Amino acid sequence: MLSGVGRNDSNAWQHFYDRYKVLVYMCGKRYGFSPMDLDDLLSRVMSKCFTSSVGQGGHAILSYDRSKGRFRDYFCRIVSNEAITMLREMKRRREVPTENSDGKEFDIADENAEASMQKEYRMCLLNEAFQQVKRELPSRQIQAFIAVRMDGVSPKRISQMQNVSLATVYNDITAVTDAMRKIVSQLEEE
Amino acid sequence: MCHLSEFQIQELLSGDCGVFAAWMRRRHLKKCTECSKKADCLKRELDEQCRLGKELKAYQKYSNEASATMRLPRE
Ligand SMILES: [Zn+2]
Repeated sequence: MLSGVGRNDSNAWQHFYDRYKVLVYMCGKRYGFSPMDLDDLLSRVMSKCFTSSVGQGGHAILSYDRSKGRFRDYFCRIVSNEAITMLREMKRRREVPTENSDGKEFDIADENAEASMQKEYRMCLLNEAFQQVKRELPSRQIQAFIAVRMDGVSPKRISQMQNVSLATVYNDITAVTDAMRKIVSQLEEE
Repeated sequence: MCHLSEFQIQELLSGDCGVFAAWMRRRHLKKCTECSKKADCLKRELDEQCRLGKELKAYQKYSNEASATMRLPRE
């Protein structure tokens, strides 16, 4: 994907936006940012990620290079740093939020921030894996996974709806899970 | 002793079998190390599947909220 962004491939761009927009959102939300602050955080992160020069086709150029380590760590660091910078600015203006979205007070120097960020990143990868699995596996299997594991419908009810055995429902759900795990571990390697 | 099949254990863990069958199977699990090991393994898999489902659900919620609040230059 990153090389695609470098080549200004528009699919890769869309992919990049889709993955990282939600990640920035989750991080900002954790710090209790308002919608306006979230928008600001996204702009700041993007301007750090891309150089000010514009490449072919009007696309900005990614400022990351491999010597900076894994892109994932590089990106997470930018998001965290920008969020903390914004918090400090807000604190100076005395408009800092005092609690996060769960209603818990937070500390700027939150020692769990790094772990939270990594967890959020894994959620993004899991979603990507799920989108890929949805394209590759039979819809019956996907439907079983969504209904049972995401929407809490009983496997028995699904077996009646799909007119298959209960064992098939269990196997379908396992097939979807296995496929997702496989893709996630490939994405983790990126 | 007749061991429980993977399906029978899955059915028990998911609460999909009848009261009497569930009682019989739980009784077997108490006595049989082999099946109880298999059940532990299937329980871990079930928990993992539930966790993944929950995370995907949470991601969907965040993704919808993000699309509603944040706009990227190309959107
Ligand atoms: Zn047994």
